[in-house]
Amino acid sequence: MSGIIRRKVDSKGRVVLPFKDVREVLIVKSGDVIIASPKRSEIERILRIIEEYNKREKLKIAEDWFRLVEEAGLSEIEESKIQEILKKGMLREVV
Amino acid sequence: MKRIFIDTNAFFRGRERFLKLIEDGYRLVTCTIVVYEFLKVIDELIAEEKDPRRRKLYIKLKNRFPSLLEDLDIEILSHRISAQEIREALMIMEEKSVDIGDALIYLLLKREKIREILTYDDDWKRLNIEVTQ
Repeated sequence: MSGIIRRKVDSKGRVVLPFKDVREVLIVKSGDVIIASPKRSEIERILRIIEEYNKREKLKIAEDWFRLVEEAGLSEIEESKIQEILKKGMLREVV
Repeated sequence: MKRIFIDTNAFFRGRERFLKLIEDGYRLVTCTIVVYEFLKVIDELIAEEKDPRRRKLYIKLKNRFPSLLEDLDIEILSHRISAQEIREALMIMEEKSVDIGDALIYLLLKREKIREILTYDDDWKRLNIEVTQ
C-alpha cells in the first residue's frame, strides 16, 4: 500500500519516520524528494524506477530538441560553418 | 558515473549518438565557452535570416537552450584560468593547430579529469582525448 504521510520537522531538520523497530533506513534522494525504507531491496527497486523514469524523460527532451534543430535546418551544420558564423559575428563586434 | 564533454556542434548534430549517451547513463558536461558559441551562432543566424518561419525557429532554439541544459542535468563548467594556463593554451594552439577556444576547453577537461568529448570538430583528434561521434 502506498500513500502520502505528513510529518512535522523539528528545528534541526529531524523527522520521525513511520517505521517500528528499525534502527537504520536507506534513503533515495531525487531532487526535492526523498524516499526511505529499511529494506535494501525495496529502496533499490524504487531507485531503478526513478532512474528509468528520469532517463525516459531526458530522452524525450533530447528528442524534442533535435526535432526542433532539424526543423530549423541546422541538423547537418558543419563545424567549418559554425566557425565561419562565429568569426563573422566577432569581427562585426570589434570593427 | 562517466562524464563526457558536449561540444558546441553536438547541440546541433548527431542526434542518435547524443540519445545513446543518455541511454548509457553518461553525465553530460559542457562549459561557458560552448554556451557562448552556441548562443552566438544562433544570434547570428537570427540576425541574418530573412525567412520569418525559420527565424522564429531559431528564436525558439535560443530560448529553449537554458531549459535544455537544466532538464538534461548538463553540468556547466566555468573557466577560471591563470596567466600560466593562458601560456599553456597558446602552446597547445601552436603545437596542435587548434583555436584558443578548443585549447582552453582542453585545459579545463584535463583539470576536471574528463577524458571523452562528443564533437564533430576533427581538430579534437589531434588532442589527447577520446573523441566520440
